Amino acid sequence: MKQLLSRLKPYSIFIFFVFMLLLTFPQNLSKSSESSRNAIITTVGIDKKEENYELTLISFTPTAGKEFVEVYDLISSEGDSISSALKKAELNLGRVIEFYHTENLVIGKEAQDDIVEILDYFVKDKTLAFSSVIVGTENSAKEFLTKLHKQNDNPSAIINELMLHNSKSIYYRKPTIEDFFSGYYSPLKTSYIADLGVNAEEEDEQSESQSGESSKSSRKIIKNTGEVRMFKDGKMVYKLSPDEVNGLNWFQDSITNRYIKVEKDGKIKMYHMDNKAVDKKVEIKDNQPIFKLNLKIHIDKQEIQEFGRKHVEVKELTNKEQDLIKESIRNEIKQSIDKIIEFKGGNQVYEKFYREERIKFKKFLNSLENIDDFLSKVIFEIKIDLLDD
Amino acid sequence: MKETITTRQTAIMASILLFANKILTLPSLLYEYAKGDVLLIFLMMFAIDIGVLFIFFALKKKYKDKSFFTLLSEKLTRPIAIIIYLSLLVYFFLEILVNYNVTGIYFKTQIYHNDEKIIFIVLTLAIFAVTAAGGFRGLGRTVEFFYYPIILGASICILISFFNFREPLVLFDSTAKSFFIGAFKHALTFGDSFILFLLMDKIQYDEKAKKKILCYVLITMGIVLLIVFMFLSIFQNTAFLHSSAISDIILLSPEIFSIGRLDIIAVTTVMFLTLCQISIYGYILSDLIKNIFPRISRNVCIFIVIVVFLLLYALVFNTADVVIDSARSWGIYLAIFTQYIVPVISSFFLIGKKKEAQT
Amino acid sequence: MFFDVDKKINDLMTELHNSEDVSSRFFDNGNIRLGMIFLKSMTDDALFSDAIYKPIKEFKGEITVENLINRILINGAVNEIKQEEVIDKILKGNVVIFLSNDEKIIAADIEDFIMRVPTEPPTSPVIRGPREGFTEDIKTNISLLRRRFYTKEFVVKSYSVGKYSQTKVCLVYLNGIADQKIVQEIEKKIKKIDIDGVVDAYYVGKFLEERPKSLFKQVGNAEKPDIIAGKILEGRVGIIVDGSPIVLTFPFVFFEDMQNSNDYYTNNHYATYIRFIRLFGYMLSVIACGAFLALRLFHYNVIPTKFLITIANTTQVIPFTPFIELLFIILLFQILYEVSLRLPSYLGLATSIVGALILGETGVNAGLISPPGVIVVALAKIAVYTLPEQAPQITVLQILFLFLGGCFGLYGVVAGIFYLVNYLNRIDSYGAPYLAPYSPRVCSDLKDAMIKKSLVDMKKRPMSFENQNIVRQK
Repeated sequence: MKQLLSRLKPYSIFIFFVFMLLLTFPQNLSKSSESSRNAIITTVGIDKKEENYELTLISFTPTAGKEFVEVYDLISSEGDSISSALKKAELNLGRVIEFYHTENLVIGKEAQDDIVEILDYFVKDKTLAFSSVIVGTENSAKEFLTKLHKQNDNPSAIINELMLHNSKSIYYRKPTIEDFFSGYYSPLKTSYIADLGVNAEEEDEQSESQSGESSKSSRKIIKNTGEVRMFKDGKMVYKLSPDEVNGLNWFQDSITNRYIKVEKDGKIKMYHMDNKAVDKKVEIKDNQPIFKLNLKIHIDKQEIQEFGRKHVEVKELTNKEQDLIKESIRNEIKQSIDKIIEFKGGNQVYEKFYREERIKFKKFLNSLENIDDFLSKVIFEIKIDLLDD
Repeated sequence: MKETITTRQTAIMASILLFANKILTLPSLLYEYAKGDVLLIFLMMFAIDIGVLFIFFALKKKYKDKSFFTLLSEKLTRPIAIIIYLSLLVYFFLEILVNYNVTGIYFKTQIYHNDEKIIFIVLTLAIFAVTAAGGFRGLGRTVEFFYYPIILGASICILISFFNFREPLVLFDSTAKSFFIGAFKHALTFGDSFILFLLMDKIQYDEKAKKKILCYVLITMGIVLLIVFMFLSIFQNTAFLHSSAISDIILLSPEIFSIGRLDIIAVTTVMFLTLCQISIYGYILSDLIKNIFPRISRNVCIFIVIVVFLLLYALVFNTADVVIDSARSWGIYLAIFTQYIVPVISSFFLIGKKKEAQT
Repeated sequence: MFFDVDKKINDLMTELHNSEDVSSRFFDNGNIRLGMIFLKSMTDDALFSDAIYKPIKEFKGEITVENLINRILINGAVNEIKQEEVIDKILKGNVVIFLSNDEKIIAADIEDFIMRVPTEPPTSPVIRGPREGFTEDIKTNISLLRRRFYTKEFVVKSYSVGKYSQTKVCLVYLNGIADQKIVQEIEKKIKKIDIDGVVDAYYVGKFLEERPKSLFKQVGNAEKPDIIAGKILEGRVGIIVDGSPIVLTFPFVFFEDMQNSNDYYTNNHYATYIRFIRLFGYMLSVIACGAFLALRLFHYNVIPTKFLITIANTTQVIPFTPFIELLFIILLFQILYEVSLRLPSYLGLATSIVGALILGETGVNAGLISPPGVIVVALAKIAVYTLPEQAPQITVLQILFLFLGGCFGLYGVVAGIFYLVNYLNRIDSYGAPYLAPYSPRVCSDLKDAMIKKSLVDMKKRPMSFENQNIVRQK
């Protein structure tokens, strides 16, 4: 024995490694791949029905074949909590449900009141990535996803397509879970999510075509409404209309391309803005916060559209035209700010003051009864320059 | 022949220890106390670390080839040296348990969602045993080899995180009390420069050593600060939700990077970092035992460390909560004693030497 | 005094077991009788006739040992030898001559056997640069090196190794550049070798390695004189073994295999790029299979969704678990590789068709193996040949990393890399750290490591190991 041990001594480390490997080897040799044990969920929909939660999951179903195909199943389950609904879905699916590959989370109208709890659960307990996109809908998430699933096997691709565009034109930042929480945990507790809706007309056509033939229509039945849902303290308080969203977008550096609608004497003219520069400054004078917004806008003179007429080309904008454009922009901004004041938002303005005039701003906040009202006390000085070529 | 490491390897060892522990949960935990001033806590603690480094430089210059244990024995008597070394043993076991738990949780949440901790224990102990038995020179070279991959991994993470950069950091936003409480509560995670004292007899100290070590340490500190800065700038209000800074800073990478989970870069970097750190700690632990019980062979010391670690893990520190609680209660005092008070005590050896010279 | 030449020849014939190729000739002019013995298989018949027999026959004066050496046998090496050297000389292609009037013995070298001419070695073809390669003849090999060093400092030391083979082993180096301690240590080790026979250079190499039981090679080797000359100029010591076209060099560091002779005959920027490709290929070949298995068994969350969908679809009907599937593909590949290596080239082609087309394609179609598995293994196996010198160890490492990835996931693979580096860091080759110039870092050697600087920038010889003269150019 002693001889054997001394002979094995030089190889002790190697033997140790082999032993370690052997410890786990048999178990792993017979282990199937994770993708066959776990479900690959690409989109999750959550609805609330009275006191129950309904989960709608779009799950990838592996399909063997010579050609590459992507088959997705729609599974829904109900439970008195999300975890119990999830358990039922796991039983239906026969696989463990993980959300590592989930890109979108659709929250139905009723469930939007519990959005914080829902997101908290998915992020902390179910490994949903903070970068997943949240989508709100006026319909139920199940209805939304069912229709989307009928149109295209993988709804996440369509949602991403729409949201990717949307993220460039909606107020605030990319509508991810991280952004939602960032707003929720800010002093004003205001957050925003984007809205997608079902296109009613397309829906009808879809059902007609389905009665005639079984092939799926390529036309989209989902639309980007351009609306944004505003949440205060985790509860939905208001849905910003596309015009109001546009009004807020004047504060955004990133959105540089849009049409400006000018209405005069019943005539509508559309001016194309092809570039924009935003300069934001804040100051507090005698406990009065002033937000200075300086916009430098470039109008594409080759693309001015009068209602009912073809595009017209002008060499120069008249002073009157310029004033009308500026007036239109001011109105848009004012309407949007009024709504934000009404529903006690204004994270970006708050942050700007806090960063640049912290001491004075704190003093100003202390003078308020409720900091949620701060935006109503802020004076907005808006200066607009229309640039020539 | 005594195994020694080069000055560069020493500098890298100090840098690796400085790097590890600080780029996962620490920024998030400190945010609860100090908001954006977390960066200032890091700066303050790093400044103290550099101060400790200067004590080490002076000590090493005076007592070239003496081991720290011999020095303590000569100056403070052997029983006191043994007591200090025993407290160091407890400190390093706690440190290794904290690291093991923090990284274990990190790996579990990032990639090992369904698997047992046994994988980490088995591999970590195996690597520790192999590297410690392989000698200090091999360990020094190994750490040196992995320094650039680690720095590269961290730099890639920082680079990607620039795409998520939101707003500049708001500094001086916390109260002095919460600032210092934050620093105090997480004392165990800082103060790594002290480790060089324990290895002082195994370091080849050339003329440029001071400059070299400071250079590497400052570069590493810069990278850590950059990670912390990016983390706080990106998350701010939600910083407390994100418990793994280096992975989370690349979490929101834009569409162009949507080629999968890029945090695999961070995970791999942390893996190498952890293995380097565990190996160094493991070697130091076995060295501490060897100093206290000089008759025991190195391999037996390694065996003792493994057995004690397993016993501590199985019987006392079997959950992360127990470990973290210990680190934030009695562990703080132990850390302050070993990391800061012991170096300060040893700085008196310098004064003593001067007097001897004058007489 | 008269010596019985016939008896001496007969005794030697008996001692050589009257082997078929042992031949003897006698010459008698009445005054003196000469006995000559040699091996027909090792000597040139024409040379014997023209350079030995004919001059003796035609010589008019008295045949003495002095005359034989200085006046008669003037072609080639002729020496007076001792009795105990006789057998050795005969075996090495000498004709041994006994004289009836003198007890002295003479050996004349007329060695000649079938030899390959120096051609381009199949293992290291070059686009630019010299195409000649070493042959199995030690003399040719030495002359190939000599032609590159017209200096008295080029030293060749010869030893005889192997109880039965008595193989000639030559140690070559540049005096004044190579470290004498290294030379002496190698000499000592060569002299210590006590083996029955040496068939190839690797036999000697194994005895000179510091860790002969290690998986990793610790000896540099090349089949081309330009490569060996380059290494000798760096201060390394070359070992030439008779009968082997491979010349060994010591000390050896891992990054030597990253270098290729092509790198030195091309643009240094391109060489740098190619070295990174080689490193990438090396890493890919070692860890690809293990990492892929780890991802499939432990970390499916890390795989991008699109790729995961492809994997899930293609592995849906595979009857094996991922571990067994990959193991199966690797073993299948290795079997095909071995078969194609051993078979004649016309059959090798058939094997590759059977392997690639029939087994691979049909295996995938039949659902026995999955395309991603085949792709990963094929990639790993092809990438091995970015560093052909390391191929044997890479092949073993592939399997080890497959097990690590399969049993412990990505942490296992990373821990494997860590251990590997730690292990290699503990190996020294005659004072040269195995992973130099990276760990420990040797600044001046970085000029010819992963990043290759221009030749004009390489002012110093490698400092990873001892050199007598560091300055290479001024």
